Parts: sequence; structure tokens; C-alpha cells
Amino acid sequence: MIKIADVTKHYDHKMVLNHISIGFEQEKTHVLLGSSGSGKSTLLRLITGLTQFSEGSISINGEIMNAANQQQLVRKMGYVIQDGGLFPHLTVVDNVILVAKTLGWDKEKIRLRLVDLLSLVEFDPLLLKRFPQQLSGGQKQRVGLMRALFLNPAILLLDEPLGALDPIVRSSLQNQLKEIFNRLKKTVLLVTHDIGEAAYFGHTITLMNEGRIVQNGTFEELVAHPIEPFVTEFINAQKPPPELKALL
Amino acid sequence: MVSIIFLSPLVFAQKPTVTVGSKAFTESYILAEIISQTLEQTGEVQVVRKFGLGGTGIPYEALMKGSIDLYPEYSGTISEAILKKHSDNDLKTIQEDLVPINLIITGSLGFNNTYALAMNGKLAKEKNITEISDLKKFPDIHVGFSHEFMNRPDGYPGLSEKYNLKLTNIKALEHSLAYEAIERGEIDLTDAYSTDAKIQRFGLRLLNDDKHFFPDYFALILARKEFATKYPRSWKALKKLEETISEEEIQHLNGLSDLEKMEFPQIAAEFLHKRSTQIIENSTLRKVWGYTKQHLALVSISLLVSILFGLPLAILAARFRTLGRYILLTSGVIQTIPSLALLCFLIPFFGIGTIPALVALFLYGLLPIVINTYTSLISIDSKLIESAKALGLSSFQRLILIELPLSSPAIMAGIKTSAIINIGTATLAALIGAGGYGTPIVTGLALNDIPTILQGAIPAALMSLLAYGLFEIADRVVIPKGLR
Repeated sequence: MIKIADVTKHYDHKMVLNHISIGFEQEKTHVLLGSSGSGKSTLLRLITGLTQFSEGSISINGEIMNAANQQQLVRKMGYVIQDGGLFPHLTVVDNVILVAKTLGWDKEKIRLRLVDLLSLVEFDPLLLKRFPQQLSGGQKQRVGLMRALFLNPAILLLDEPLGALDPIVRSSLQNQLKEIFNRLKKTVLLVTHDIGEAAYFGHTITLMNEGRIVQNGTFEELVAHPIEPFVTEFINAQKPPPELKALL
Repeated sequence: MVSIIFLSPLVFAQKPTVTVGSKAFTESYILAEIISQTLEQTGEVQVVRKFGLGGTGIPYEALMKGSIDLYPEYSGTISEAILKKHSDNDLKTIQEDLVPINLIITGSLGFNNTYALAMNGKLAKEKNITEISDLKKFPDIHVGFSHEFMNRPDGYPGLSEKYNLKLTNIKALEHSLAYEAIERGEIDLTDAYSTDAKIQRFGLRLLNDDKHFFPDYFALILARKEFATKYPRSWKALKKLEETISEEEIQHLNGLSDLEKMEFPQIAAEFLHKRSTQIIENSTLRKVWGYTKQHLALVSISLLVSILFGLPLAILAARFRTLGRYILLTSGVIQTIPSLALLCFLIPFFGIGTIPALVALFLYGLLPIVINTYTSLISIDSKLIESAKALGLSSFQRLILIELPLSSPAIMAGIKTSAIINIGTATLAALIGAGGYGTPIVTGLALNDIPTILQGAIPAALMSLLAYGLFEIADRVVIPKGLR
């Protein structure tokens, strides 16, 4: 259980998160939805401890995060960003096994884990010796995912993981990701601005706007019982126009 | 070199060493060589030669510091530039004034090498200029003065005042280039030493100092007092040189070097009526190899120390930005100090020789390494830093595994820049007796002898090219493949 209690964050005197309180249940996929500047990515980064906040507290499975335990807590999370955040000076395999090596895992343990992950994300082992810039967008995302999953963390945080991909790659990776989430039973937090993606992945959807949570619930709840007009507005904005719908 | 250091105390155990200095012009080299050979003949001490130590400031500082024991100097220079007295300069008064700073002089060696103005002979005849006062009628004449003459109170500033002479067309240039500049018609008038053999050779006219502005510049030997008391036999032998070199004699000796390209040890030997067979002739190739070893040692040791200090400083600067600003500012300021000035500043602390040269080169080598490393470290994509943090890497692990490898192209470029700058700058180290390729360059400039200059200039250029090539190879080893 990830618990956010009354968290506020300022950035250059601007309030980017305004008294956020919410809990994310274990082994479910939660989507943070909103347009850019809504605070959804900031909230995700707070959970990793990458950025500090002014007030409130965050606890992971009952353990309150502070400067002393951040590094140890962050190892229980995998974090994937838009273009994978891969290190350009390391090969694919070195990117993936980097942390395990610093933790002193033996070679065989590393190899077995690598084989598991390669089949899980369906990544071609022949590409392991390549450098990130020699990979396509979808391949980079798979490498980023393998790296995030290497230590088998209980929590997986994804910031617009499919944002930079073209529609066909995006749709196939979407299916694959959902399958992986279901199979691994991890607590997943996924940030997106795409309402379709949110509906597809999310057991719960948290709609954010201007640093606060507008509504939290299932997709059906958001559609059927919007708390504010903004909810309906946001959902409708991404629907195809009616005349196009007739053609589809 | 190492073996010499180890052997010397054993071989010369009974003989203490004395270091003779000289300035970087022909006459000073010749006098210093005469002094050295006289000392060697006397047999009381072992002589170390540190010749070509720039202008007045460097050998004087070196003498005060004890890095050298004696060097040839001129009475006028002592009273003007060292004692800062502008009137009295008879030798007796000078000797009395030197007592408090523990220096001692011999009497005049026999000639007066005063400053003089030398003019294109043809032009002087044409315009009927025979004395300095005549110049007032031609204030726009093309003048080239040496840097030293431009700035010394007993040089142009004083002359201008005494004669109420305002020349409007002056440029500063290296003294040894002035005569050829006159011959090519680029300048018409320069400062000269009255004993210069080239005055006749280039058909110049020495202008009469009609108001007697230039003080006497009797050549003599300036030494530390303790030298005279510790080695009385040597001092007595040097005193015997008094009044032995006439003006004609020194012009002849200067001519042997400047015009006949004879080497200083031979000239001195000839003067001392000793056959030159005793002097070991070094082949050019051997000499260049010797300079190469010295130059390589200067550059590589200083570069290594620059890296050892530069990298940690840059990392500190990138981690603590406020401190970083001071680090960058300081290394930037050091870079703006002219290299010759920096070398002079270091003499009071380190004396002359290899150590101050290494310190100067180390300081110069710092900035390119610090700036490149710092700039690269702070401009790493913040997403990559966050990814590394999110993976749970510690600050130190991030530095070693991510930040430094990502910065390696810039770091290597900084080291390369440092190395190449230092190969050039190290040629100045010869001015403070540190050897290297600067030795033939300084000597060659003093002699206006291009082949000698090239003995230093060409290998220095080759070394730069070689360094460039080596770093291209090193790049391949150090910089990760994914970044190339």
C-alpha cells in the first residue's frame, strides 16, 4: 500500500501539488491521469524520492519515507520514463544488469534473471550488445522495463511509458504491458494523459488538474458519476468527433 | 638524469658546487662562460651553469634566493634596477649599498656597455643626425625599442624627459630582431648596447649622448657575499679578471658569437688562452635528445599533477556550485597571468630551475581540465541522473558509473588541450633554467640564429603533433564505445 498523506509541493513559489491525500492498493494498476502541468508526474517522482516536498508524508507498506531510507526504499520500486532513460555509454545488457552488479550478485544469478526478463518482455537477445542509440523506441522501452524489473520490485512506476511511440508499436506494447502487469501482480502506478490508455490499464483512475485530485475511481465511475464538470469535459475532449465516429 | 643526480655527490664529493647564472643575451652568456671556466680552472668548486635567465629580474631574484651564486651584471643596472637609485653609480658607492643585502661585486671587467641609440647609417647621414638632440627635429621617425628599454626608468622614459624628446612612432620588439628590422627598413632607430658587434656589421650609427643621460654600465661580477668568504681562492681568481676585457675585446668576442656562430665555451676558452680541445662537443642530435628528455619530463609531470588536482576540483565544483564558482574563477585568473610573469612570481618561493617551471605548468594545465570536466558534469541530461537515482545508485556510484564515463569525451578533450598548451608554454621554462626545447630557442633569439631556434621550435611542434596522435589513441581506450 502506498499512502500519500496531505502532501504539498511548491516549485519556485508556485504550488504544484496542493494537499494531496490518496492511497494506492497493492497488486493493482493505478493510473494517474491529467493534462501536462496537472502534477501527475510530480506525484510519481515524489514517490520515488527523486524530488522533495514541503508538507505531508509518504509511506510505502507502512514505512514512512525519509532521507535515510530513501535509497533502500527506491530499490523496491522500478521506475520507467518516456524514452527509457537508458545510459548511452552502456550496452543494453550493461544497462539492465547495472544495479545487480553494484549489489554484488553472482554471474549465474544475473544470467538467470536476464533470461527470465528477456522472455517476459520478448526482447531479442541478439540486441543485448547494442548501444541504446541503435535501438528503436519500442526496444528502448522494453530495455527500460527490464532494467526496472531486474531486482523484482514490488512497485512499478511508469511515466508516460508509451508516449514517444508510433501508434502500431504503441498498441502492441500496450497489450504486452497489460499482460505483464497481470502476470507479475505488482502494484503499478502509470502516468498518462491518454484517456483510452487509462481506461485500458487502470483498476483505478486518479484524474488530476492544477495540482489537486479531481476524482479517484474506476473508469465507469468517472463516466457515470463525474464529481465536477471538468471530469466529463476531460473525457469528452479525447473522444473522436461524432462525424469521424460514423466513418470508423 | 637520475644517474647524474645519484653519481654527482660521489664523484665530486670533495668539491662543493657553485651555480653561475647569466641573462639571455650574447655578452652575458660569454661573460658567464668566462667566469665559469675561470672557476673551473681554479679548481676550488664544481660549476653548474644556469644561463639564459631572461632579463634583469630573474637572475637577480635567483641570486637573492640562492638558486645561483653569481652572474655578470652591469654597474648601471645595479644602481637603477636593483638599488633603485637614479644618480650615484660609482662602483665604491654601489658596493657599500650592496652590503645590507649581502651582495658583493668585483671591479669593472674593463669595458662600459652603455645603452645607446643606434640608427640606420644611411638615413642618419642623409638627415645629418649625429646626436640624440638631433632627433627632436624628426619625432615621427620609425622606432623599435626592446621591452626592457621601453619600461626602465633609465631607458626611454628617462631619456624622453631629459631630452624633452617625444617620439610618436614607437613599437616594442625583441631586441635581437631589431637589427634585421632596420635592415629591412621597418624601423630606423633602436636601442643598442655600445659593445654590440652588429652595430658595425649593419652599418648603424651610434648617436652621441650629448646630454650624458645614459649612466655607465661597467661590466662586473655580482655575487652573494658568502660565495666570496667561502671560496676566497675562487673570488681572487675572479678579481683577476678586472680590467682585462677592453671594449674592442668584448666587441670582438660578441662578434665571434653573433657573426661567426662560434659557441660560447669556445669563445671563453679562446679569451682565456686555453685550447678548446678540453671542451666536450655535443652533436646537435644529442643536444636535441637532451632537450627532449627535459621537455618531456616537464610536460608529462605537470600534466599528471594537473589531472590529479583538476579532476577532483571539477567534481567538487560541480557538486557544490558556490564553491565551484570560486574554483573556476581562481583557475581562470591564473590563466590570465602572462607565463613569463608567473615564472617570475614563483622565483621567490621556489627559486629557479625545474620546480618553479613544473608549478607554473601545473597551474596553466589546470583550467582546461577543470572547465571541461565541470561543464560536462553539470550538463548531463537530468533524466539520466534521475534514472540513476531511481535505480538506487549512491552519489559515489553515480559519479563513477554514470557521470564520469558520460563526461569522458570532454575530460579527454580538456587533458589534450592542457598537454598541447603546456608543450608550447614549457619552452619558456628555459628562461628560469629548467631546460627543455626553450634552451635553444632562448639562445637562438639572443644570437639571432635561426638554425639554433629551430633546434627547439621544430621538435616542440613535432611533440605537439605526437601528443595529439597519442591522445586520439587514448580516446579510443578511455571513452566508452557508445559515446563515440
